[in-house]
Formats: sequence, C-alpha cells, structure tokens
Amino acid sequence: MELLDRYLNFIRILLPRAKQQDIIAELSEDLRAQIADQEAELGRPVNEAELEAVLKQCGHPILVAARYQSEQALIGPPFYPLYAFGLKVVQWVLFPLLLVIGVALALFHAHPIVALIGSVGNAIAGAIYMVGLLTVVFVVLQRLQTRLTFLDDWKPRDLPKVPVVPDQKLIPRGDSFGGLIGSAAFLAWWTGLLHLPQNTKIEFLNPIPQMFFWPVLALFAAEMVLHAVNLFLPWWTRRRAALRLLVDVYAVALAVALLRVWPWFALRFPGEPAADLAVVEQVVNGALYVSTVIVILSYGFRILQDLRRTLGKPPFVNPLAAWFGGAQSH
Amino acid sequence: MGTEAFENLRLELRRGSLILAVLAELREEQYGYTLRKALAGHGLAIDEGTLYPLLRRLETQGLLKSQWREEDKRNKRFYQLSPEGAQILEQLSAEWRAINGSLDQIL
Repeated sequence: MELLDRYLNFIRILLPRAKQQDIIAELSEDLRAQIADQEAELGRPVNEAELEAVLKQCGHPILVAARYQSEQALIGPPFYPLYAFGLKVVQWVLFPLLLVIGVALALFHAHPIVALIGSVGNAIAGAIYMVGLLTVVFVVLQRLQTRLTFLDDWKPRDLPKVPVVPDQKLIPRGDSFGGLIGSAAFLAWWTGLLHLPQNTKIEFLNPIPQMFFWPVLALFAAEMVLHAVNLFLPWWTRRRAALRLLVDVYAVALAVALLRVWPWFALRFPGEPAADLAVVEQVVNGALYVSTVIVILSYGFRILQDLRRTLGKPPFVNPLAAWFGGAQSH
Repeated sequence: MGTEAFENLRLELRRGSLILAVLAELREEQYGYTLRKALAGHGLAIDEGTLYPLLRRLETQGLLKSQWREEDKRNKRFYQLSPEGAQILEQLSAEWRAINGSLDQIL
C-alpha cells in the first residue's frame, strides 16, 4: 500500500493544516474500503496496476485537495467585473499615460534614445506594478468577504449614463495610440529634440526648412492632440469630426504646397559622378512625390469620412479595411 | 467541443441534484463509502473527491452532523441529517418536484 500512502501524503501537504488529519483519515478509509471490496470480488489482493486505477479514478491529488478549499477563486464573481475594469483602465489609460510622459521626458534628455528605452521599460514596469497592486487589493477584498452594499441597495435611476457607442463611431485605441506615438516621434525629429544619427550627405533643399517648419509642426501637433483625445474618449462626436476635417483640409493644402516646391532633397557625395547622383536624387525625390500623392489621396478619403461624420451620417466602409477583414472606417 | 460542452452542462445539472440526493440518503446514518455505494446503486455515481468536500460543506452549514466511530475494527465517519437539514430537505424536495413538473411540461 506504499502507493496509497504516497497518494494520500501528496494530498495531505496541499490541505490546510488544521483539517489534514481528518480529511486524510476519511479519504483513506474510503479508498481502503474500495480496495477491500475489489479484493473480495477478485479473491486475491489487488496488484499495482489495479491500485493505480483506483487512485486515478479518485483524481489527481491537486484536484482532490482543491475541492476541500473554501475559496475556489482568488477574485470571485462579485469583484471580478470591477477588477477586469481596473485592468482595462491600466491597459488603456495609465500605461499609455506613463508611456507618453516617459517619451516626452526622454526627448529632453541628453541621450534621448537611451532615455526612451528606459522610459518604455519604466512604463511597462509601472503597469505591471499597478496590475499587481490592483490584484492585491481585490484579493484582500475577496478574503475579507467584503459585502458590496451597493449591489443590494441600489436604484436604477442612480446608474451612471454610460454612452452606448455604435460600432461605426468607435475609434480603435490601437490606432490612436500608434498615431500619438508616431506624431510625437516625428515632431521630436522635426524640431530637433530627437537627435538621430545625422546623414550629412542628404540635405533638405530650400525653401523646405524655412517655409515649412512651422506649418508641418502645427499639423503634427494638431494630429497629436486629436490622437490623445481619441485615445481617452474613443468615439466620434460631430464636433471632433469637424475639428479633424479642418486638420484634413489643412494637411492636403500643406501637401499640395510641398509638391509645388518639389524636389526636396539633394545628395552630397563628393567624388561621386554627378550623373549617378542625379539619378539617385531623382529616384529618392520621385518616391517621395508618389508617397505624398498617396498621402493626399488618403487625406481626401478622410475628408469625405469626416465630412459625413460632421453631418451626422455614418462613414463609408473603408475599402482597404474591408479588404483586410476589418469593418472600421477612419 | 460538443462533447465537452455537454459534459460541462451535465456536471452543472447534476451538481444541485446531487446535494438533494445526498441529503435524502442521509435521513439514515451512513458513512462515506456506503453512501457512495447507495447513490451509485440509484444511478447517481459520485466520486470521493466530490462527495467528501460536499459532506463537509453541508456539515459546516449545519445540515449534517457527523461522528467518528469504530465499525468492523475500522474508524469511520458517520453522517446523518440534522434537524435543520431535515427541514431544508423537505423544502428542497418540494422545490425539486415543482421544477420537475415544470420541466416535464416544457420538455
């Protein structure tokens, strides 16, 4: 019966100390009675395989011991929805906030890239810390069996007016988050806060830096603000659509103005044949020209969508999003 | 998937019924193993890992009383319905019959 004792001892160590002896005595009696019945039926002692079958039928020691626990969950049903909501707040509000603050502070650091990596690490660590803290708070509430009085004593009239957002008005937070980070990174580079390794062999042609510095900065600053607002209030309102419509029109005007002063870049490679450089320059500037036209077309589609939102009409289904399986229109 | 869903729902359906069966069987004093055999004899097999925690819970709720006693040179824990348990059993039986009647009509 060494196998039986080993089985029971495994269960024993998983049980609360005060109940160990009692539970094991009862379980042992049951298993021994089962084995005795089987032996009486067979007319011989059970062999190891038969004993194993009895124990397997009883269940894994971890499962058997778990059934004796008074608490079956760290955070039970009354608390879980609140806990899940808290996790969402950490995921979609506190973590992005920590990240944005970290990125902003990193830009003013002497070594922005190193500081940026540190900031991302700190934001992740901060989010994990908050999830841990939240979990501990809810586990303690569960352990104390805190009675949520508001669940019993409530009036339908006191419920907050939670806006029901139709799918077509939802703004995916991932898009806003990505847009926010992208705009911030571009602005950091554009304003010179982010010192990327400079390639002195490629330079802007006049009048790009002089004429377009503030207009481009204004566009990306406006985009950043819009993305930040959309991140925390992820649904379209007519006012916000109208604001973005202004940004869209401004962006198209700016892109058209940029095309009018094209080409934008010149290559400086002393010693290289001028004819070869001219070809490369043409390719680079040509690619940028095509990209800008695509950007104008995409802003054109956004103008159409934002115009419809501003007028209170549902936006068209984005053909590209539909093609890739998404139903959102931006 | 279908089998797993059925198995989960079957377990859920049995859970409440088993409590009623255990309470009913314990109108007469029994120890765990004979109780399991009696339930299995009625077509309600229950494994020891489920029965004993359930007996403890019912005892904590005051519906059962138990005592360790020697029988056939072995120490066994005998359970029996408490007066409170008997009252609850009566109420639950009425509830069960009502549910059963309603379900019979629906099914």
